[in-house]
Amino acid sequence: MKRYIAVILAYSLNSIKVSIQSRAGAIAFLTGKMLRFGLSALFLYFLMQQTKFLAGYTLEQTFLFFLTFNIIDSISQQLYREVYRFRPHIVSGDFDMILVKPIHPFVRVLVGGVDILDTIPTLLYIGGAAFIIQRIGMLSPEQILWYILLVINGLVIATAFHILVLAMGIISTEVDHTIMIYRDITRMGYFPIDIYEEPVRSILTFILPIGIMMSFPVKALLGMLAPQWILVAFLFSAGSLVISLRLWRAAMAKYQSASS
Amino acid sequence: MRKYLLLARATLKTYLAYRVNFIMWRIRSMLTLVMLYFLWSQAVVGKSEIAGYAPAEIYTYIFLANFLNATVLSSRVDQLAGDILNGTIINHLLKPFSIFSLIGTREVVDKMVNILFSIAEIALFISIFRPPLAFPADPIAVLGFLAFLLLALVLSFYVSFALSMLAFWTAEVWAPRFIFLILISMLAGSLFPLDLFPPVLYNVMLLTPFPYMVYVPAKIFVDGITPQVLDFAIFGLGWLGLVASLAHMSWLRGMKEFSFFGR
Amino acid sequence: MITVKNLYKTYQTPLRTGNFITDTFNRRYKSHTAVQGISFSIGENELVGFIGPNGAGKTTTLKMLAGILFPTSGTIDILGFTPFDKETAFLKQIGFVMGQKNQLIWDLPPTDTFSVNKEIYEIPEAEYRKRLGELTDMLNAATFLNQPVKTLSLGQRMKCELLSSLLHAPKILFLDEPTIGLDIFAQSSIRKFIKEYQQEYRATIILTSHYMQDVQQLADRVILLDAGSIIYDDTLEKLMQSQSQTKCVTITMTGTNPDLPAIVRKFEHEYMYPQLRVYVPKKRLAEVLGALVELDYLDVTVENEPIEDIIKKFYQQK
Repeated sequence: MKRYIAVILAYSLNSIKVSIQSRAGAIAFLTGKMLRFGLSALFLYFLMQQTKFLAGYTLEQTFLFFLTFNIIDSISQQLYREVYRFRPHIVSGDFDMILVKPIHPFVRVLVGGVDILDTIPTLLYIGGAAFIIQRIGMLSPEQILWYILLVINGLVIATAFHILVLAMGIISTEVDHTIMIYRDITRMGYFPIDIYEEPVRSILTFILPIGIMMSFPVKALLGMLAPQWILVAFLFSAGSLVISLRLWRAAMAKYQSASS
Repeated sequence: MRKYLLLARATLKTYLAYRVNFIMWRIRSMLTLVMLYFLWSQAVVGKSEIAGYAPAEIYTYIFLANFLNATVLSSRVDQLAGDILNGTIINHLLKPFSIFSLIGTREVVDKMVNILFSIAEIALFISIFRPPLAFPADPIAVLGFLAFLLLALVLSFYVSFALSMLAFWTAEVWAPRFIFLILISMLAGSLFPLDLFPPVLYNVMLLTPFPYMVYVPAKIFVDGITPQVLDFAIFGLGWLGLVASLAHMSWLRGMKEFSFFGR
Repeated sequence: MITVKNLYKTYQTPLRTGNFITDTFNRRYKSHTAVQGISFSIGENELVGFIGPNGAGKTTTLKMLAGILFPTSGTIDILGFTPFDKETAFLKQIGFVMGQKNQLIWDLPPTDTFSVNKEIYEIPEAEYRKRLGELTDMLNAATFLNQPVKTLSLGQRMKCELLSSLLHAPKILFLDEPTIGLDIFAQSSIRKFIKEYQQEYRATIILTSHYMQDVQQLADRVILLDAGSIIYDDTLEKLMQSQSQTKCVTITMTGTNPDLPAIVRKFEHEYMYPQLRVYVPKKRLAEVLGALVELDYLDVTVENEPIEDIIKKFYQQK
């Protein structure tokens, strides 16, 4: 375990060095993200000025959904940045060089490019969410605990998604875009899942689990989620993680017995 | 003429080669449409108007914005930056017809494919969800829409072209392009009508080139010809002139400074 | 140290019909046996060269030995481990370098990749410094270790790939075409290094290469593969002796273009004035030379047949 942490730190240090090298690019990336966040927040604010409520949620509550989406999205992007660069490793065959290392390949291809610079927006989103939670007030410690646990639960689902993308990257050559589909679909979780009408809402909640990932934490915080749904959320994330790991193993077996 | 047809066919063929890319771009567009549709349908619940738009008008706006997004903002001019960076632009320059005919033909084909898909998608969407729609009473509004659509197309082309020209001077062209894409996605008006914002912010936005790509044509279709259209025309044409001359100048300068050797 | 018994590897490659739907849902496979029941064993500090044309199964065998590929059948025992189990204790004792593949971080200097490897292999600081110093000297790499990898020449990059795979002092080193694409100077310095490294650190090295020079100068023993089977496994000298009963005489003439002596026409020869090349059995060398020196000549050389030709002939006989 100590070795794993040391290696991940060494990789992260290297990715900082790479960003420092292309400073202009890194700053542009950060600026772009902040611009998008700022403008989306403004839009949401002025929309809410007009409507007062969105699917029954107040301005503060809607913002909490929006911030929670950003927290989960930002952390998973920050941790799993390397997944975006996985295909070239397979195409060039450099993946072989990763496999002969005495360490699990995930250390390289999943968390081998942690982007420290992204901590800035992540902290900003967390700070914003904390500020709103404090403003809403009158929330019990349990509700806040459920919120945190369900955010982590959302991150577990995101992890499963990313592992799935890696597995697909090995199995098929036509899936360079799986990760983009993932990002586009999760973007539907910008707003509370309740804005969608059936059957779209159910599809988004359970099949493409945006609801469980992005909306459940806030609903639990606001005391609007029955305990059985919390249980479903945890079972869902555990299940998706197991399935994605199975697929990864199957993909590896295929790579190691079929590729040349 | 034959040359252009052959070129158009070659462009269409590259769609087959990159069909997954294209499908992804369309899926993204449809997902955005689904999200916006439901967002606005919640926003207008129980209201006769929101920010001056009746429900039928707001639905019309977002469908139009989606269509304009596909038409105006789809472009392959950004390939030019890559061609300049890796030097393959030389191959285009050595061919017996101008690189602008090549780019132009590619753009026309690209936009026609996108328009076709966009219309089909929106028609499908409308037939499923059957939202109320508002059509302009005055046919002049449609003409105004078409005129400003043309302006939007040319403006967007030159913005993309000018950004690609940066490749003559720096390898990190993607950084400014990334920021521009974000500004366009937020400020062009493809997600919401810009007059949702308070007047001060709205007027500041109108000073930038972005609203003339999506918001302005859609607004004219929905609202008809109002006195404001004169402002739109002045600023829109002003930006077009500015960006176009910038693009032309940087093309000429870049070609002079570009070293063909050692790339 | 390494024992391989009856090793097979069959690849399943999907047949592409070009029809997206059948390719996705009803994929047909074609199987191709890359390695067909090979057996061999390799002892400590040996340097063995794998030779064979493209598709003979060299790289596949190497990848199975390193645990990257799963053997279809047969057993591999290396230092008491089965490679495919990928036990940490096993992987820490091997090093793998592929001439066409890259493990260095592209945008950063090689030293940054080295420091990651230091953590992966848990190399103690003092030992890491010492190894790095020694290897840097041996490879003459001090001047470019701090430049970003993308600015290095192919030869420099190869040196860094070697360095980064050797920091953890592997007992067994796999080299898959380490000199591919390099110019002759870089090739010879890499070769020199491999030889020195084997002697200095008592490592066991298995090497594949297309360049016969590599194998000739480095390998104590060669294994010739053809279509997945071993067709020869012994020293290179023995192969040369058994195959090469022929000498190659080259003569460069001056003056007018003469008629060739009758005896030359009895043997395989290539003639393009002013150069004549004759392949003569050892026993009849004196006769031929006697006839040739009668001509007006600038220069005469007698050589063994080039190794490439010998190997080529050997393959043709099989």
